[in-house]
Amino acid sequence: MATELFPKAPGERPTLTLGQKILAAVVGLLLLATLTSLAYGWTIKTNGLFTKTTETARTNAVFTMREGYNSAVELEQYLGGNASRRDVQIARALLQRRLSVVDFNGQQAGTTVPAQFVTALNSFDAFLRQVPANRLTAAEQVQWRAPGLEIAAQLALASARVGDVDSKHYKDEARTLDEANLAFSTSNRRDLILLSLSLISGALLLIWLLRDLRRRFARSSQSLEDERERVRQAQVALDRSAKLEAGQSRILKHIAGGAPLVELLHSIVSLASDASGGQAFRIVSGSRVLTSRGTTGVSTSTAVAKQWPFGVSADDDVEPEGFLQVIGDSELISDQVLNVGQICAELASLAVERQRVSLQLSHQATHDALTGLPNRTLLFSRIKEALLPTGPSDRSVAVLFCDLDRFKTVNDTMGHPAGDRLLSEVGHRLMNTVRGSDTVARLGGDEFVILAPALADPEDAILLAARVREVISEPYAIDGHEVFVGASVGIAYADQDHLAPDVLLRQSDVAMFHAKEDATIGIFVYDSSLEADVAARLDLDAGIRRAVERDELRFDLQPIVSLSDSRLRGFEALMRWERPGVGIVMPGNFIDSAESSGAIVDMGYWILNKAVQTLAHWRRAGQFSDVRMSVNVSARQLREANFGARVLEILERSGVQPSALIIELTEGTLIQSSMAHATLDLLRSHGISVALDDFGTGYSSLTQLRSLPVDIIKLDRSFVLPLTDDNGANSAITKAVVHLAQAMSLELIVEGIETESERDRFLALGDMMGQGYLFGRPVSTDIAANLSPTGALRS
Amino acid sequence: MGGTAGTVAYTLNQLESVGQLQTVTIYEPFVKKNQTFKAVMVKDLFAAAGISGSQFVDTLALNNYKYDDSAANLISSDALIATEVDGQPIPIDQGGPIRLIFKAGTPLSTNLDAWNWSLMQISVIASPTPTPTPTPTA
Repeated sequence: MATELFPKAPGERPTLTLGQKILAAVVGLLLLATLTSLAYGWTIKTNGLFTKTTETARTNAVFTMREGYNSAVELEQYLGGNASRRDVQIARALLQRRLSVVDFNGQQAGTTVPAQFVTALNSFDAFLRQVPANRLTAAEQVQWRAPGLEIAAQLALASARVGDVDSKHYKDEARTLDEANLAFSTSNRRDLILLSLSLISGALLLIWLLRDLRRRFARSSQSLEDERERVRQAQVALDRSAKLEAGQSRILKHIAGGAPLVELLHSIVSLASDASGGQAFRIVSGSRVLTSRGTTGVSTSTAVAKQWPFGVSADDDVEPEGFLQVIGDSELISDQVLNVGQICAELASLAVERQRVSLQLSHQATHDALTGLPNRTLLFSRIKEALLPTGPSDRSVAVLFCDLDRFKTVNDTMGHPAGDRLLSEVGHRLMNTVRGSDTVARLGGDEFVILAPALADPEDAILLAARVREVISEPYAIDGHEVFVGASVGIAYADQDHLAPDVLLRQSDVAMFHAKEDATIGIFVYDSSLEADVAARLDLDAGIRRAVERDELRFDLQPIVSLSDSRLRGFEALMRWERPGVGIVMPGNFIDSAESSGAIVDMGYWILNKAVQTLAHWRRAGQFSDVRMSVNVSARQLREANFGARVLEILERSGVQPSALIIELTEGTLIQSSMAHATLDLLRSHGISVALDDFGTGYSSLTQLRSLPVDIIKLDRSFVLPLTDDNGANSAITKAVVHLAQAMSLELIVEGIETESERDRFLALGDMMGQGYLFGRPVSTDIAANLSPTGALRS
Repeated sequence: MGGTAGTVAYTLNQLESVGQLQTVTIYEPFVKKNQTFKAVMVKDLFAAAGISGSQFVDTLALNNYKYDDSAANLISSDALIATEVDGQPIPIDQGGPIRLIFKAGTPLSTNLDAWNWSLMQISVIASPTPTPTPTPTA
């Protein structure tokens, strides 16, 4: 592209053609010849042939005559006494000067005079030698006048004849002069001819060069014009490019700003047309055809030169959203137009993608990611719609708040992924249970809400709640297990006061809490009197969350002893909640709430730290050196990723031997938290014992004991009663459990021993440990420290 | 030397003491051989006599031969008045005792009319005579 813009310097370096060179050489030669000829002519002149640097024979002759006459006249004056002899001698000397002049022919004047002149001159000279000097006196005149006059006359006469001697000598001179003239004039003519030829050929060369120059100029002008055209085209291309960039930027802004897709596609097709210099474009998307402004017939034209699909998604195989098409003859479509099309198609793809993402985000904002059901936001909006007084006034609007029973157990024991699958299935079942006009939403956790608008009869809501409970309680197949959950449903009706959605939802929530309490019916319709109970429960939840940080928990210890000698073998760490303004709250009243809120984890670490610190304190004081400490651990805490490491760290920091610590887990926790077995193995490998608490109240069978990572079994008080009641069958079970534990080398701790009789009956089965009011109630650390190692304090 | 302002007469010695005496060897065109002359520059003489370049002068020989020209032309041709030739006074039959000579290459060197022999006097004139052709005075 750059080379087209600046292909070459316009025009050519001017050079002479061969013909011009030859002509220039001819002109040069002619000028040289002219100069040579002129030099020759100059030579002729400067050689004296034609200049006045020499006397001609004629001039000599004329002046010889003149000086001859002068001499004769002076002699005549002398003879008359009018001049001195010196005057005559001067005249003669001047004549002599003339006679010595060399003429054009190289001859002295004296040698060319006639013999008569020479004779006369000799006579003259002889006479002059005889006569007296100075002027002649009268007497001397008489003596010398007559012969002197004759001599003067002879000289005058001879002088007159000097010019007559016009013989061959003058002719030669004349011829020579003519020849010189001729040579000079010939030289001049030659000069003229040569000069003319030089001028003519020079003029021809000049004309030729001028014509050539004009041709070159025309070519250069054309070249310049072509160059301008290229520059103009480049400018147009640049303008379009700038327009494209500006348009791109504008449309990108609109895309980012969430402008409607149709509007964006309109802008894009117009930009394509603008930036390609008016080329017709259209966008075909489904049945919709968008054309650029100012282009007609484009929507129906079939002459598609090229098309670009847009809105093609790379990760799925959906059809393109549409095509950007350029209309016209494909042969005539320039690369620039194709480039514009490509860019605009990419813009269209971006716009489509933006819309998809926007729709997706919008869906995500209003739907639950796990179940795909509407979330709280959408539910609120639907409740608002349902409460609008648009339908028949006798219709009811009900909100059913469903909370799953035992879901926490599934989540805790089978893990969250299993819990999530169960929730999805619940969502499906609910959707298949409700009417098409109903809305099933998930608020989070195991809470689902059904909005049932336009009920003909309020009773229908109760029927629906019953159906819901029924379908939810059907078994679920999760990870190859059959899982059962139930549901408690609270119902709230919107009355004529048109309740706000949040109030209606809260009322159904309150009703659900009450439904939970009566699991046999499991359905409760909201009543305003329920509010106080629920408020109390919510208050408890809020309080327990802050109990650790507000230091409201109290640490108690209940002794564990050998049944045989009542020797103190250990303590079970317990906690109470001293709630300001309420008083002591026992674990049975707040553990559930702590577990559901998650506060149980902090509380667990709190009691673990307390227990280990107490042991460490005693060890340092040299007290209770062989006493062990049992600490209850919830399923939720056991599932903490770093639980094992933290326990070991707490022990290491305190310097207490791991063997002094017993982790107590309920059956439910141990059996269903199979994933946590690795953690227990780790703790046991360090010497920590694991006790199975409340054995016999849960799900585990005796045979399962073999596979559980436990060292100690704590028999629930329910096993104590059969022995004392003499109930044969139950007694046998108790005995079997004891024997089995003994056979498996598991330690046994019997809980809830309150009487000596109870103690004795177990003692009859073998020595084991016991815990109960008989040996000591839970006491504070200070009191516990005062217990005798050999016998528990009876309280 | 004569003119409207008066006449100045020079003896040979006086003439030779006007300006710097020159010794020049030139081609004498009448006898066609090189001769060495001792000469006075006309320019110096004109300066001494008060003749300016804008004036016209007439040179007159013993035989009344005349040659007229502007003082400027004579000065620009480096006109000389020779008083000796080849170390001797110039005899009359060789154009003496004094004569006008010109070095080769000067404008008047090729004008033989200007080479006035046996020079007798130089007069300032109002304007040049029409032609320098010799006027024999019988």
